[in-house]
Amino acid sequence: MKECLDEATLQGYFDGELSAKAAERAAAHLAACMTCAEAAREVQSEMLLLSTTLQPEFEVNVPTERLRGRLEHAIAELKMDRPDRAHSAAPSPRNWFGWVNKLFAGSRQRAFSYATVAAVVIAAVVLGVMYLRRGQQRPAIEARNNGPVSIPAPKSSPDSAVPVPAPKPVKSSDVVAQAPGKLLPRHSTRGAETAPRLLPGEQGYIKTIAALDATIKSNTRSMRPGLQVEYQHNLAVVDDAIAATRAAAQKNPKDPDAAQFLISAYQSKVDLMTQVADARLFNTSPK
Amino acid sequence: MVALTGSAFGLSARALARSDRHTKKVPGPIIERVVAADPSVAVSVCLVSGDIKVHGWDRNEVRARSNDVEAIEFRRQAGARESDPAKEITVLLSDMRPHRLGPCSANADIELDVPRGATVRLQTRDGSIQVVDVTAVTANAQSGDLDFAGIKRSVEAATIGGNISLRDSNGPITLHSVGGSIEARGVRPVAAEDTFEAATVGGDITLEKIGSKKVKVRTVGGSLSLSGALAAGALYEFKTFSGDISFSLPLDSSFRLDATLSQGGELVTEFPLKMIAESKESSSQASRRSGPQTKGDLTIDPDVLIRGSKHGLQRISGVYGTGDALITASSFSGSINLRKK
Repeated sequence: MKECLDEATLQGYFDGELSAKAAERAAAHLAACMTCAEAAREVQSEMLLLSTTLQPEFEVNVPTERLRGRLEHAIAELKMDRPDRAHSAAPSPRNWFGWVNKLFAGSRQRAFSYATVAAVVIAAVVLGVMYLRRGQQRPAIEARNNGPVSIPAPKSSPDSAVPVPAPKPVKSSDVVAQAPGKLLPRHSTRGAETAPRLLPGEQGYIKTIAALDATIKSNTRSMRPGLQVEYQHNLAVVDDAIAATRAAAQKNPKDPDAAQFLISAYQSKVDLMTQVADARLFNTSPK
Repeated sequence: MVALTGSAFGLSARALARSDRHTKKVPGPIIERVVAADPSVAVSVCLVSGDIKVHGWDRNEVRARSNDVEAIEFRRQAGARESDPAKEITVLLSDMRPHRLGPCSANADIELDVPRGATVRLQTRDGSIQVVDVTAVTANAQSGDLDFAGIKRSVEAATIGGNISLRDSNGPITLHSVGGSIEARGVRPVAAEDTFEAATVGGDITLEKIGSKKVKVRTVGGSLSLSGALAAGALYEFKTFSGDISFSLPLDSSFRLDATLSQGGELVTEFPLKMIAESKESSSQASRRSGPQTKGDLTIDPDVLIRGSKHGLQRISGVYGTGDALITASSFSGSINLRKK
């Protein structure tokens, strides 16, 4: 191996994800190449830092608020040490294409897995479009109560280890559209769906969801195929519930039950994304 | 078609989860380590990949066995003396991978025997977790199933792609799955305030003989069911979006039902329910303050089908017996069934 090891190979080497032969080749290269040996030491020191940081957390309940603080601290230190890498994590079209390239780089098995995910997602989208064209619509629901209902703030999971960044202002439609590979909603997109009118308090949930989405996407390592499919599928289920209950709540702004259903659907999405963000942290913790 | 797509997704997710798992190594010789431990020892294990099995036993020792590793280390808390029975142990496995660091390092299956009074904290990314006869469990997995039995004091468990099963256990219970189903049978509270909470996005939740005073279950795409006697004065909160809710209750049950139905939903009850007057304040508050106020002689007779209103969500409140337990059941597009057991 004459060329230097790329980052994915180096990370795979330390994660033990390379085949025996590839690991041997990488080890031989590291022994001979000063540049790669230096890069390897950096990766190793990062892993050691995370390992040391996380060590006490395994002696108490995980995940915890303390873990969140430690992770934020560790991440901040890593970013200070590696400003170039921190910069490269910022979302841009170039990075996006790089991410796609990395997705299909690596072993054949991994590429096959991603291709399977993509095929399943495309099939689901096609099925969703066909279903939409059949014109199925949610039943209309009319107002029946007197006072407007406001939605309380989202409950963040107190035990979550996920550092949620400060949310950026987003439109509700952006959040729905953000999820890649998401199933199309099976209900009509008329009326409330086209009018981005939010119920009082809904913005809080949307901000939280956007922040969680940013957290999940800020992880530079690609999501494992199994986790990715499970996430996308259940995200589609929750988005479907949110869309349906939002339509009902918008048609019945004075009905507390309709608002309750919407709150519950949003809370389910927050819980789901928190759990997946936690899982992503596990994946980046020392292997 | 949506269900079909969902099934396809579910199958794909599980197939991919399996493909995520590291290839199993050829089993090597069994490595075993034993250490003297306090009867209430806290034991932690974290794996990248592999199954974890834990059994409670009568000895005051912790024993770890695996045939996928080179070495097993019991790491005690800082400052603990090696000669004393261990009070806290982190089990570290060293497999044959190069440069593995940290407590979540190994790709191996492990079996642990621990004192019955032990508290265990278990984590594996790709693998299942099974725990029997210990005092308390905290468990996390991403793609594996979680199975618990005979847990005496508390259970807190979460998985993304796996199912959760709990049997004959006590104390506060928290079970969360994303894509999997949850089953619990034979749960009793240790303290009056102990709650039972279960939530999933895509799966069903099936409960049987739950004695907790506060039972809160929620799913988005699945169905919910409860079978067995209701605890007196208990609060049962069931919520689903597209699934059905079913209760199978003894004849001598006594409860108040607050049901919320959508247009497509139905309420079917084998218990005659006395309708309750609507209150502006929350129904549970009203009920707890002055007891149920029935709406004259208006009752929902057994086997009469109540359909959701065509004009929006419909709340139906009714009492059977003296209304000891409060059941809140909400289904956005499913049905609610009450059957006699």
